[in-house]
Amino acid sequence: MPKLSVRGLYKSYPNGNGGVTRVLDDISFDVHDAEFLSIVGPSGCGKTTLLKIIAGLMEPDSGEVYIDGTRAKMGHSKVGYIFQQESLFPWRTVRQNIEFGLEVKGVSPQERRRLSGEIISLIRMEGLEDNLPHEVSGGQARKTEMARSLITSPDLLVSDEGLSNLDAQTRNYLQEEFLRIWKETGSTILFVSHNVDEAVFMSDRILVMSNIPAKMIGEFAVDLPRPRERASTGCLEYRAKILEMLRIEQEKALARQGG
Amino acid sequence: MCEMTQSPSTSPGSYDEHSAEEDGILHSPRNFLFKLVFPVLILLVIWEVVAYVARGFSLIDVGQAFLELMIEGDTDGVTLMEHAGRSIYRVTLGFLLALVTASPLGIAIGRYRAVNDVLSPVVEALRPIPPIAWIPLSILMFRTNLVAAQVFIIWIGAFFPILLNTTTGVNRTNPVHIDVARSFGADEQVILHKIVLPSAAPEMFAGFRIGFGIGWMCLVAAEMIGGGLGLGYLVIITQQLGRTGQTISAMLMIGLIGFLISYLFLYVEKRALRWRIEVSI
Ligand SMILES: Nc1ncnc2c1ncn2[C@@H]1O[C@H](COP(=O)(O)OP(=O)(O)OP(=O)(O)O)[C@@H](O)[C@H]1O
Ligand SMILES: [Mg+2]
Repeated sequence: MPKLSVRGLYKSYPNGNGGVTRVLDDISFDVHDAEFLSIVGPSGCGKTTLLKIIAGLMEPDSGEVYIDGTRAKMGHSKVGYIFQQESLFPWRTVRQNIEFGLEVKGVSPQERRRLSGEIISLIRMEGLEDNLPHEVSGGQARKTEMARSLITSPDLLVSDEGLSNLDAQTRNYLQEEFLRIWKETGSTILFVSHNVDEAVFMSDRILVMSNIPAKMIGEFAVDLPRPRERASTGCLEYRAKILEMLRIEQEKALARQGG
Repeated sequence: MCEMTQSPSTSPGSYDEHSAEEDGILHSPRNFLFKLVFPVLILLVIWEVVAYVARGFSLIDVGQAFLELMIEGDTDGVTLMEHAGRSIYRVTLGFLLALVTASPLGIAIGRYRAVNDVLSPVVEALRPIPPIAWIPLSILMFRTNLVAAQVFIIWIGAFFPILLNTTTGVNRTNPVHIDVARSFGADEQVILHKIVLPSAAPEMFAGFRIGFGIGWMCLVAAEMIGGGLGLGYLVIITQQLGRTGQTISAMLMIGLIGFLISYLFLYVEKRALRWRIEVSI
């Protein structure tokens, strides 16, 4: 049984002139247990919309989301979510941020402390626990968000451009960190990125989304041994194939606009 | 005095002024000069000019009247501190009443569209009425209960700044923070408590400070109703008796206490909101 099943999702938003714009157009896919799946697609194609529906933060127009075979409805808390924007609570220290989900779930203070201690050493942020978010670097903030999402042991971790807006070095470093934490926790990860290199380097499988109304237009099982070399021939081949697919999609979109 | 505009702003400037260097107020000669000596000198000059123009008084006369009020008291033997104590009591009462009514209402208006749609026009139609204009009605409403009538005026004065600031603060809640909470299954109560309140706290604190300040300013108006005690009452009654020195003394006391309380609020704000203040520098 897949960890996550998405079946026939449709979603439209009201547009300015009283009509609606269809964003998701019959999206279906599965994520397997302990899999690292990436979704790449053009900007504005509905990746965030898709993740929010999966996480129970938004209602689809139709279609269903199943986690471990059970229907996941609005307001469920089975998905750990790393948001596209910075999302740490500025009034909470690193540790208090990390413990937030446990507080919501009513875990006792001692247990919270123990779990946050564990995860702080997992993300290697010892000594920064009592800093406020503005007192840590961008990369450390991202790791803190990751830890905050992981601490409640969600069935699925979704990351929305989790490593964007970072300099190349930090980004590479965090990619490796992300992979290490994925291995050590055995989590299932759904990873959204607009960076094809990153997706190839990290994923077991990559799905390609089209422009709106978005469909899944491609699927690549990345059959490369880990740890991977970023510039290896294997990685570059996948990269070329996926970029080609996105290029053709872009041309089609332009043709549609022109016609 | 109560008609001043009630700005919903956080007045971020006031953070800047008092945060970075405040701890060292007397530690450097520059601070000692700029933050203590100069302001006191300017105040002395202002009061000297006012006292002179009004009655040909000097500061010595005012100082004498001040000491007399402190030690011997007014014509009834009530000292300045007793008047001040009574005023602080009334203002605190009115302020607390405003705090417990305006904060929840501000949160509701800021968070729920329907409440906002219904109540915002109501608020905007009541807010421009100066607290002082409520005096006749408050006397009619509370009849013999003078304290209640006075507290009512102060409540009106403090209510709107707290309400508006709270609403502004709640509106400033970052939607992604609410999404984070929802992703952990938080219900509305948890979101209010753990996301909305802390997000709005800086504006709310500023609202409390401004609200108390305006409440304090409405004091004279409120005590004009009567009651025989209080700094506002003292201002009115000494003026009627032609004791301008005592009038100025009472005014000085109103200013001094207002200043101290405002500083107390800023101090608490600064401690409680380390995250926000340091960001805003
Ligand atoms: N609340 C909304 N109301 C109306 N339209 C919206 C809303 N949210 C998103 N959209 C539109 O839906 C489309 C998909 O948005 P979404 O944020 O899901 O895209 P995305 O793939 O995450 O983009 P990006 O890669 O830039 O983050 C966009 O065209 C956007 O303009
Ligand atoms: Mg997005």
